[in-house]
Amino acid sequence: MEIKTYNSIYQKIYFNAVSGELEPVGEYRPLRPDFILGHDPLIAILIDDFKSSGFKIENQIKDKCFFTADHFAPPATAERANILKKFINFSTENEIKQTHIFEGICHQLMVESVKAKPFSFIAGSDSHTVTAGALSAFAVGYGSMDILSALASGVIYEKEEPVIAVKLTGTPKEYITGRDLGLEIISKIGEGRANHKVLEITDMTGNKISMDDRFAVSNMAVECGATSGIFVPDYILANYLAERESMSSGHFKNLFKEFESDIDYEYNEKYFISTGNLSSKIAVPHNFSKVINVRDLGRDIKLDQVFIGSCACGRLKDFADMCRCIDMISGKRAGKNIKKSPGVRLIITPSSQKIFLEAMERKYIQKLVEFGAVITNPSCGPCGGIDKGIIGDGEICLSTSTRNFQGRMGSMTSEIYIASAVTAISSAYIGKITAPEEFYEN
Amino acid sequence: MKTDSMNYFEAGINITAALKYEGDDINTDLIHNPAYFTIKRENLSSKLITDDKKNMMASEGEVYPDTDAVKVAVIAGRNFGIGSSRYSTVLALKNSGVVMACSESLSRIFERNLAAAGIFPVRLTVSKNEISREFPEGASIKFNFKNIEKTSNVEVVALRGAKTTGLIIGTLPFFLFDIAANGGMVKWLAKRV
Repeated sequence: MEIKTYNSIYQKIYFNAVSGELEPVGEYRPLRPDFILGHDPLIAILIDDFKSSGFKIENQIKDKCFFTADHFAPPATAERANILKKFINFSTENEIKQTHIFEGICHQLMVESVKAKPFSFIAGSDSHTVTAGALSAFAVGYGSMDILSALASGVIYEKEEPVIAVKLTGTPKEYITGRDLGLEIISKIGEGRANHKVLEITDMTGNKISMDDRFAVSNMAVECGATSGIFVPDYILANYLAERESMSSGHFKNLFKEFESDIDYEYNEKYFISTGNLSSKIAVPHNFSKVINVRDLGRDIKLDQVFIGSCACGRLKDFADMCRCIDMISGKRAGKNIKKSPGVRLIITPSSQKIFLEAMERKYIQKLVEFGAVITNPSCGPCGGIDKGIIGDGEICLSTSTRNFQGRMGSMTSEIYIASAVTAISSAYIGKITAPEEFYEN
Repeated sequence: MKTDSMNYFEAGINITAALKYEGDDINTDLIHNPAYFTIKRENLSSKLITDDKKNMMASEGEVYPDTDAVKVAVIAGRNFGIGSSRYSTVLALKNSGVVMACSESLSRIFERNLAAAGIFPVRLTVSKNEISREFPEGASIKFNFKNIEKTSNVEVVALRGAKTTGLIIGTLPFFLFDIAANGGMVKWLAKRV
């Protein structure tokens, strides 16, 4: 009797990507990436090995490459300028047409690109490549040597992994963002507990979760340890792709049917997140293992800096949320020109030039500057302790960025709290960590 | 499993290293802070290892003429290497003498990066506490690798002194073992491309 095999979206993408020309090594099968993401420092570090081994990039692989200069953008030291130069030279020598210098953070540029397709295998030289899981892609972060393998041989070896289902239900409150949802998922699954597993995330809220919020959710899959965080394709994704590619959404809906998870597929675990009951969330220093409600922190934590940006935040929806939050505070305080607390440095970084321009067009930038923010060019900036917002000894920063590890944004004695852009604006106004609920409720 | 693997095991592949214990949640920023990122490989090292190396050896009464030359096997708790994909992190460990990194849960990208740098990434199958009862920090330990029949995994056995039987401490997928045993991804790939 034939035994039927049931597959999830992930397995369908995985088996679609397996190269038939090469043998597996143990349980690891050779997969052909459809899209190879690389950024300045982590491409630069592989170049000497690549050249000294005599490797070449075949033309069909060049077409899959998408390189960005976003970390050292612009470089703050001579050494970083040399790293950037090395990266640009390598890209030029290898005729990588999709090379984007200072246009935005790689993960945002990736999801803006028509080359990043749903149901494709996306491999990137950065752990937050998982962001593209919101496009229903198997988007995976790797180290430089796996990317070297993709460039030189066209394949990366991966084994099939179990899948955890995450179902988002209910209707989230106005001030609950993708960042809050992501933090809630981490608190349910646990930091690192989804290691060697894939998340399949379903929006069952009736299309209440925007693409920008979904990017923030998929972005945090890696903090759970997951290989990828794939959203189940739906109406919201079809509309996003239709707009991005100037096509009808019907085209994508037909494609979606082909890749739906089989109804009898057995998930490794299932989590149901009731978004309607969620309060604003915050991860306290120095890792993601402790996520709590912002209001449970009280009002005692005085801030030196608030940073809103990175590949986890800084999208157009975040800008809209920030401005809405300023309006809510203004309404409560009966003041038209409210400003951030004078003791707090407020730094805001759009994720891409496209977002920057759109935020200017919609007057979001003007409103935020009037509130007291410094707007920087799109780049990774302080998120990885690179530049444009490093924090000093004993300082406390509320950040929307990706990680709150000790010393990540500067001094080893500093502290990083991770929360949403709405919590960040509420807190910048008061000067202490403050729950948005104070301004949105009652 | 591919037949080339038999050559390793018939040859009795093993390594000898001094043990160093670490706790839970040692993330990539703690191993090598991103502020010090460089592609000048000779400038990379991990304070996590180098700061303790001399003390670690002295506590076990081992005498090494040159601590810089000492090979180290790290035995860490949960979530070892969680965080960034920066390859510089594992190069920093390699330059600090690390030849094997073991954890109750090795972060996925870090695990692949370790093998790519020629460091054996081992998923512990016994608790860190159990290993520490048998093998104190600083002790010089011999690790044997054996393929597990009918699987694609390699078993790691720790032995001390002249003992011929030891403690099975963990496993690693043959794929990662193969890369590490070849000296890292570049050499492994060069044989295939």
